[in-house]
Amino acid sequence: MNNSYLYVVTGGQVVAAGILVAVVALLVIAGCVLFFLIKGRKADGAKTDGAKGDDVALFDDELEARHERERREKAALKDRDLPPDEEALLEVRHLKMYFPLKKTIGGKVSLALRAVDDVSFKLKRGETLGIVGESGCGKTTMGRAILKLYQPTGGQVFFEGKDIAGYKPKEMRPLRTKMQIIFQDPYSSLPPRSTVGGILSEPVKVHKVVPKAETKDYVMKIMEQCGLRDYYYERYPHEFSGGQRQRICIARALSVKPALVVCDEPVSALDVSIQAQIINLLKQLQEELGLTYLFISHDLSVVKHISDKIGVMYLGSMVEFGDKKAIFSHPMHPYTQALFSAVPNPNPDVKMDRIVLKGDIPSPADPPKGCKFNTRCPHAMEICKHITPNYKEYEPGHFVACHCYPQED
Amino acid sequence: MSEEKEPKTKAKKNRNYLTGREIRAIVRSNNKVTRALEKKKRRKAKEEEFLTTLKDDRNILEVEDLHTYFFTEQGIVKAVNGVSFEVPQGSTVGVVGESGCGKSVTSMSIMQLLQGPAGQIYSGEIRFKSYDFKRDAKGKPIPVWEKDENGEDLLTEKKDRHGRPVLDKEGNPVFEKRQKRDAYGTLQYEMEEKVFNIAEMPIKEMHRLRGRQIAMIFQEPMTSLNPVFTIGNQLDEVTLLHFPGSTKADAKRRSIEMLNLVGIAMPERVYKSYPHELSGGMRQRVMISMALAGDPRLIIADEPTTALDVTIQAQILDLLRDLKTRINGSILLITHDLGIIAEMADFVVVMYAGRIIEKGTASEIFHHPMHPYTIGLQRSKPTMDSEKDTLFDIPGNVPNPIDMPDYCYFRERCSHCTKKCFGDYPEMVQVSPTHWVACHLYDGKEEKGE
Repeated sequence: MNNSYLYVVTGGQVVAAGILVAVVALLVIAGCVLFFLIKGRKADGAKTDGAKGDDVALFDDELEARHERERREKAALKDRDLPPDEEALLEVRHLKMYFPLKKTIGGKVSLALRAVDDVSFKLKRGETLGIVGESGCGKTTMGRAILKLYQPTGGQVFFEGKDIAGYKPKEMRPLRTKMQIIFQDPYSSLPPRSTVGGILSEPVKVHKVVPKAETKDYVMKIMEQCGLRDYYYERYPHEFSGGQRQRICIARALSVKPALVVCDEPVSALDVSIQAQIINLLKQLQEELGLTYLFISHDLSVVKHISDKIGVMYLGSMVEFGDKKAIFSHPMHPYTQALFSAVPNPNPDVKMDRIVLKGDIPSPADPPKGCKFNTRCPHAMEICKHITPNYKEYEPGHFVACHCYPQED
Repeated sequence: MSEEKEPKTKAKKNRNYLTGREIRAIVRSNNKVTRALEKKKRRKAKEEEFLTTLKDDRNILEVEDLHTYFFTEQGIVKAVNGVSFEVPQGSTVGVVGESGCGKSVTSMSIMQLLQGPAGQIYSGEIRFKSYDFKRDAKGKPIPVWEKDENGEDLLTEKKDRHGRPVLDKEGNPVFEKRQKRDAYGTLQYEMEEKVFNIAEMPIKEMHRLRGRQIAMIFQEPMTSLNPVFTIGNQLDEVTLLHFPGSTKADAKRRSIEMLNLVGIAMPERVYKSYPHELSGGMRQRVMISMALAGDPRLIIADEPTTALDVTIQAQILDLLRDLKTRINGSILLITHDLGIIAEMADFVVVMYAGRIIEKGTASEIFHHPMHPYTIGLQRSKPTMDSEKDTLFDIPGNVPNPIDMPDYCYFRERCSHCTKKCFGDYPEMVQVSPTHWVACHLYDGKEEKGE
């Protein structure tokens, strides 16, 4: 009906209509691009959802965030050129591991999961550092970032005095013999199709730890050290119980003569009586071989038993770090205090005055502003909601990040 | 029960596998037994068949000589092999043991939730004191009517759904009796106490107990909540199923009350949300509120805090302890963590390889443990306030659940082994009015005492 109208237009009108359509289309596309760009930029900066229309608050938030960022960058820069501690086997400075969650059209990360956010510590040769914290606090991610199983987003990792954070996989290869990992679940971390002998001799062959002809004898020696019988050499992982499998994992890690072993919850999947066997084995091996452990666990009593130093993590940050004795005799950070009081005591007569924390651990994608613990802290003050506390040494070797203690240098 | 379904090696002495012929023979003999047991579970039975009496009226649950077997292709797994214990009213009983010792299977047997046809209660008795609706001849529950001061039924004007009074033919208002409601606004019925033998009950009759009289809190709150329904939907179901006559509005009111009871800050919002929107601790709270919605007498908590963090665990344990006193119920707490048991339980049952090796009050088990396994278990756990250099370790592993030996299961790992241990499996020996232990070390002592 109305279509007939379209057929009687002249050539000039067609051209004009075409230009009009093109212009409108261009405008729409430009609008879309602008909209997304602005949206991306907004999400990039401080969160402003709550403060819409309130210009003063918006300004304050952004200013605060910028100050915060500048302060932290300054601190990182100040430490950057310091020479690495010669005594330490492993030194971590301002380590950051972010996982991108959302990206803008330009490819900029607009929202990141801050799994590890500015962690620093030193670990001496032959010591054990226990890392504790709730699930999702970034302890496993930190262990993996140190081993460069993930590429860290920022910060420095000194291993034997060299900064390995920027190393490429190829450069990491010779270092792999010096740093090894034991995983949590012995059921999924062993290849089901190769024998114990195959599993243990593969790293030895790849890294040429011993001459080819001596490989079997060498593997047998390692197996004996880890409490595995020699006839297990021909068997497959499924024939073993959890404790035995964890021994195989330990043997595999030790077969390349490492200096540093990251133990990522090595006993969480095991029963209590088997746990004790594995913990004793790890301690005994440390004495014999002079190993350095980074022991990650959520079980405080196990960490207390095995560690020399303890680091407490919360939402990607180290909140307290120090000697075992110092931390257990007088925990300084409120989170450490609550964590220690929450551990059940196997004595029915002891009634503990427990500090029960309210609520849950916040999401690491959207951590609270200021001190990350302020939403659950029993001693939270106004300042905690705005400014991140400094990670400061209050006693020799005892670091705490909390506003309850003086912040000035 | 993944521990039972692990590939079994060494079924025969020299071989790591069974031949097809052997497996077929095992399956044939298994089928004979399981078919009969399944038939028994599906039969129509009168109530008299599974009514019993309790040995001690102060108990709410008595388990006697319970045998729960899994009929697998590799042979019969005796997951629970002659277990007896009691749960006194208003107390918490902790069952502790390593994985594969049959503690979860015991709880599943009490709920009759074993995966058939492989899993079956083979023999034994589970006596449970239920507090259920009194039913008339037609099987309908008898309501409780509201009474006035003289003890007569309170009559109120009948109203239609718009709130207008209903009139009879002559224009007079109609009066009706009003059913009583409890504090949560749920309709009340007359109640009576009955003792059921759960091991003999048909599945259909079990519906009366499950979720209503006995409630269960599972380990993994994420896998035990339905991801496609809202929390409210799943909570309402309990009320709608177990309290006849309740409307959707009644159910919602009760559900929100229950969410309030477990300390959820915004019950209205949680009511509308889906399980994935909640954190682990919140989900476990929802699970507990769901267990409470049926107004149970007994709550079975199967590793309620294993999947949770220490700080959240502390919250949940506090909540459970608080609730127990508030609802005047009993808790059967199953866990592998001795710390939790010490904190929560009044009585402790220690299991090993399908049998109870020691039971007693919490202070007896923790201050005077007698069985070498209990002693070893306690010494092998590092604690917060002790300084030890090496931990005590129990050598070896739990024996294979198929082909259990006929001597003491702990013999190969025990450090106090005597000549007697090469004989039969030790009997339970009573060492104090509440303390029992199954070990040859204490056989002689008791004889001397008598």
